[in-house]
Amino acid sequence: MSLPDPDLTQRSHAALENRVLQGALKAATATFIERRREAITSVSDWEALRQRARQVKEHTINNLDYYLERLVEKVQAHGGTVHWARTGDDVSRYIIELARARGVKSVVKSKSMATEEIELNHALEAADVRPVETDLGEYIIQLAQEKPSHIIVPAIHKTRAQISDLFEEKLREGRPNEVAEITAMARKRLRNEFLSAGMGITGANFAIAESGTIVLVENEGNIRLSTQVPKIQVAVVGIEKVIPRFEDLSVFLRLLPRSGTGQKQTAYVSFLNGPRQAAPESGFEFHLVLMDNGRTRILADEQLRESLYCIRCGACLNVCPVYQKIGGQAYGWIYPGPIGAVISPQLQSLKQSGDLPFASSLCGACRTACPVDINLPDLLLALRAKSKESGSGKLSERAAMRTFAFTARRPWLFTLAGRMMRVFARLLTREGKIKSAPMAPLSDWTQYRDLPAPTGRSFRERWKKDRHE
Amino acid sequence: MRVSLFITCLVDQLFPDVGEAMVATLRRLGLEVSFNDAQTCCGQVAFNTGYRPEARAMAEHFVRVFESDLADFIVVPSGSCTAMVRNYYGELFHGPDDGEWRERLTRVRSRLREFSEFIVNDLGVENVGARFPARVTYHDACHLLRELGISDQPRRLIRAVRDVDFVEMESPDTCCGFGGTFSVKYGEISNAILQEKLARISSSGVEYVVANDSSCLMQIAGGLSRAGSAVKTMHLAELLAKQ
Amino acid sequence: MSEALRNLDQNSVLDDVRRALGRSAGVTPVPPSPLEPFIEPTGQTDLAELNARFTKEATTVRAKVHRVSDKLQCVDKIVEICSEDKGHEIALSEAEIFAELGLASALAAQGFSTFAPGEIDHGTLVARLANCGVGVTAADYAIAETGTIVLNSDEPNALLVSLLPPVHIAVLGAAQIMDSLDGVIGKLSRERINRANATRSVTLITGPSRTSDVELVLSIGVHGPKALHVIILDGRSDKL
Repeated sequence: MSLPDPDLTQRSHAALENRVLQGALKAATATFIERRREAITSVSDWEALRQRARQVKEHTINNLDYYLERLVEKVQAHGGTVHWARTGDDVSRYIIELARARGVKSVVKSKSMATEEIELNHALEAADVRPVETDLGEYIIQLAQEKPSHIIVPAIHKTRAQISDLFEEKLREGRPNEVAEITAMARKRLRNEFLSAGMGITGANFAIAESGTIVLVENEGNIRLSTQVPKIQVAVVGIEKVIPRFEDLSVFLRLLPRSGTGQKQTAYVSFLNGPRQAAPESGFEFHLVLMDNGRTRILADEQLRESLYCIRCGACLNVCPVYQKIGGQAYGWIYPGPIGAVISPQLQSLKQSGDLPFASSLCGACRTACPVDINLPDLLLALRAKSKESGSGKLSERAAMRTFAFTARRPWLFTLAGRMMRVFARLLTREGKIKSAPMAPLSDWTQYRDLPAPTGRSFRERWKKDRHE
Repeated sequence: MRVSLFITCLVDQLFPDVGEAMVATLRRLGLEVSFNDAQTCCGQVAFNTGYRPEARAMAEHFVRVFESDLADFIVVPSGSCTAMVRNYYGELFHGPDDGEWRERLTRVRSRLREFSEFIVNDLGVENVGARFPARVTYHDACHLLRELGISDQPRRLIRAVRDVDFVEMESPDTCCGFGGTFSVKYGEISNAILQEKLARISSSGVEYVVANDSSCLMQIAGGLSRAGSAVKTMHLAELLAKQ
Repeated sequence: MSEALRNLDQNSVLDDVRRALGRSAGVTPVPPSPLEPFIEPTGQTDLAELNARFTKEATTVRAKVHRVSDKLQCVDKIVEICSEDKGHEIALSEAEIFAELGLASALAAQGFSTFAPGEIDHGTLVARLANCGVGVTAADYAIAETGTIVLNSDEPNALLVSLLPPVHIAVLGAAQIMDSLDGVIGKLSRERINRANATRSVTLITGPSRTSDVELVLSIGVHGPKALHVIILDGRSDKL
C-alpha cells in the first residue's frame, strides 16, 4: 500500500506554484458551480429533496446490517455470487483468483473510487491480469500514471495539449489535436478492449436492498459496455452504498447528476439485477464484492457515522476554497476536498492523514452544497478534536492553548497579558503596521500579510479609564 | 433597555475602535450600555484547533460572567464568536452530567445577539442616523452567513447610511481564507484564497470593504496593506458610527 | 438467519457491522419500520404537454426527436435515418412493433442489410453488432422532465443493440411518456415483481454518449452511440 507524501504543506506548495493547474482548477470549479446552480432551478423544492436523501441515508446506515442481508439474499436469488471483503487485499485476492480460474487476461474497468482506494489495478498488474480504465478521464491518468485530481473529472488538471502529447507518446497512432479527435482515438482503442476483455469491473453508485439491484450512472457508455460485453461482471461496492427500496432511488437520481455535473440526468443509468443469464452453463456471471475496508470503523462512531452518507458527487470539492487552490492530488490520497479530509483520516488513520481536517478554513460552503446535507464542518471539528486527544500536534501549540485557557479564566491576568502583548507589538511596529516578526506563529502571518499595530489602549482599559458607565 | 457587551478578545485587544464605535451607535439609539470586564474570550480558537477541554474551560468562564449580567441583551461585534456560543457551546456541555451547565448556558444564550441582527431584528431599526459618502462593499463572513444565517441585516444597515454608495462585489459570500489557526498553519493556502478575495474587491472599484467580523477584516486588511492598496477595511460598527 | 447467509463463507464483515451498530454478532436484526413515502407533487398528465416537454428536453441533450402519426411514416423515418450511412448492417431488436411494421422487409427493399440477434452466441453477436451502423429498438417509457427514454424489455439483447452501433434509433409510443422519474420508478418497481425474468437489466438513456473530461469541453459520442434518434409514434396507447 503506497503512502502519500508526508507533507501536505509541500504538496500544496507545489500545487500553488503550478500555473497550469491553477488555471484548470479555477475554470473547472467555476463551471461546475454555475452548472449546478442552473440545474437546481429545475427542482421545485431542492431543500426537501436534500432532507429526504439525508433521511434515507440515516435510516439505512443505522440499519445497515438488515439491509445488507436483504441485498445479499436478493443478489444470490438472482444467481449472483456475493463475496464479503474486509480489506482491500481481500477484494484484490478474490478478483485475481476469479480471473485466474476463468482464464481472464484483461479486464475493462469503469471509474470506481472504491477500486482506486484499494489500488486494485496495481494488484491486478502484479498478477499478470491487465486492467484497462475505460472512462476517458481515468484512461488519461492511467496512461500518465498519475492519481486523479477530481472525483468527477479525474484528468481536469491536464490541458488539451498535454493530453494530445500523452496520446501521441503512449498510443503511437499520430497526434490527436482537437477534443473530438482525442475522444475518437480513445473510443477506437478502447472498443477493442471492451470486445476482448474477459471481465468487466465496476463500482456502484447505489445498491438497492429490496431488489438486489446495482445502479450505475455515467455519460460515456463505458459502464454499459463493461457490464454488457464481457460475460463475467464484478461490482466492487462499499457497504455504505445500500439503499432500502427501488422507490428510494428516485430522490438520489435527481440529486446526484445535478450536484455532480449540473445535468438533469446523466446519459445512462443502468440497473443491474444479476447475471444476464442465470444458467451457469451460459457463462454469464455476476459477482458482488461487498467491501468494508474501514467503513465499519466509521459506522461504530456515532458522531462520525454520517461520513458514510456521501454519494460521491464531488459538489463539495467545487465550492471548497482550499480545493479550488490546491486541487485533488495535493490531498495525498484518493478522496479530495472536504469529504476527503473527513474520510481519509478514518479509512486510513489519523497518523497518515490526520493533517487534512486542519487544512480547512471551516467556511461551511461544503455543507451548503452537499446534496445529502452532511455536516462536514462538524465532522472536521470532531476529527480535529480526536487528533488532539490522541496527542498529536506540536507541544508548543498545546502549551500555548493551555496557557491561553489559564489566562482567559483570570481577567486580571488576561488584562496583564494584553498589556504585555502590546508592548511587544510596539517593538515590531513600523509605520503603524507589523510587517515582519521573528518567530512563529506571528512570522507565519507576516510572511504573506501585514498586521495592524494595536493602537493605544485596549477596549477594556479605555472603558475603565474613561468611566463609560 | 440595557445591553451588555461581549466585546470579543480580538476587538478588545487589537481593534478597540470597533468597540467604541459599537458603544457610540448603541447609545445614539437610546440604549444603556454596560461592560463586564471579567469577560475574556469565547474559546473559539481552542475549540476550532481541537482543544476541547481548554475551550470548555473558557466556555465555563463565559457562562459564569454573563449569567450574572442583568442586561436585556448581550451584543457581540462578531459573527464567529456569536456562532461559537450559540451553535457550539452545546457540544462542549454535552455530557450526561452537564445538565446544569446546559441550563445556565441556555439562559445566557437566549439573550445573545450579533450586532447587526440585534439592531435590525430586535430594535427594528435600519437607519441609525449615520452618514458616510464613500463607495463601499460588504463581505459575508462565513460563520455569520452560514452558521447564523445573517446576510440581509448588515446590507439593510449599510444601505440606510446617508450618501453611501453600496456596491456588491462578485461572490461576496466566498471565504477570505482566515479560518483561525488555519491562517498561520497553512499560510500559503490562506493567502492564495485571500488573493482571490482581493481581486474581487479590486474589480468592484470600492474605497472600503465592510464586514461584521474583525478576523476577516484583519485578514483582508493585512492583504490590502501588503499589496499597497488604497482600499481600506471597516467594521460595520465603525460605518454606523460615522456622522 | 436465512439459508443463503448461512452459506456465506465469510460473514465476519456482517458481524463487524452489527457490532458497530451496538448489536450482538450473529443476531438477525428486527426489520426496521420502513420510511414514510415521499410524496412529490404530481406533474402534468396532459399527453400533448408531455410530448412537447419531452421533445424539448431530449433535444437539449442532443437527441433527435421525430414525431410520426402512423406505421408507414414510422418506417419511412427509420429508412431516412439509416440512409445517412448505407455501408453497414442494421441491427433490429426483437420488439413486436418491428414485426407489425414489417421493418426488416421494408429496409431490405431499400437495399439495407438487416439482422436480428436471434439465437447467435454472445461473442459472435457482440462482434457483429460492433460492425453495424445502426441499432433499432423500442423504448418502453420516456420521461418528459429530463428527455429520457427507458429500455426495460425482456428481450435478452435489446440493450446490446442499443449500445454497440454508433447510431441508436428508439421507437416510442406517444402515450408512454411520463412526467417524471418518480412515475417511471413506480412503474418499474411494480412490473419487476410480476415479470418473468427479474434479472433483466433496465437502462435509462438521456441523449447520445458524451464526456467533458478534457478541459470540460463537451464531446458527443464516446463509447456509447454518437447519435440517438427517438421516433414518437402517435396513436398507440400500449407499450410497443
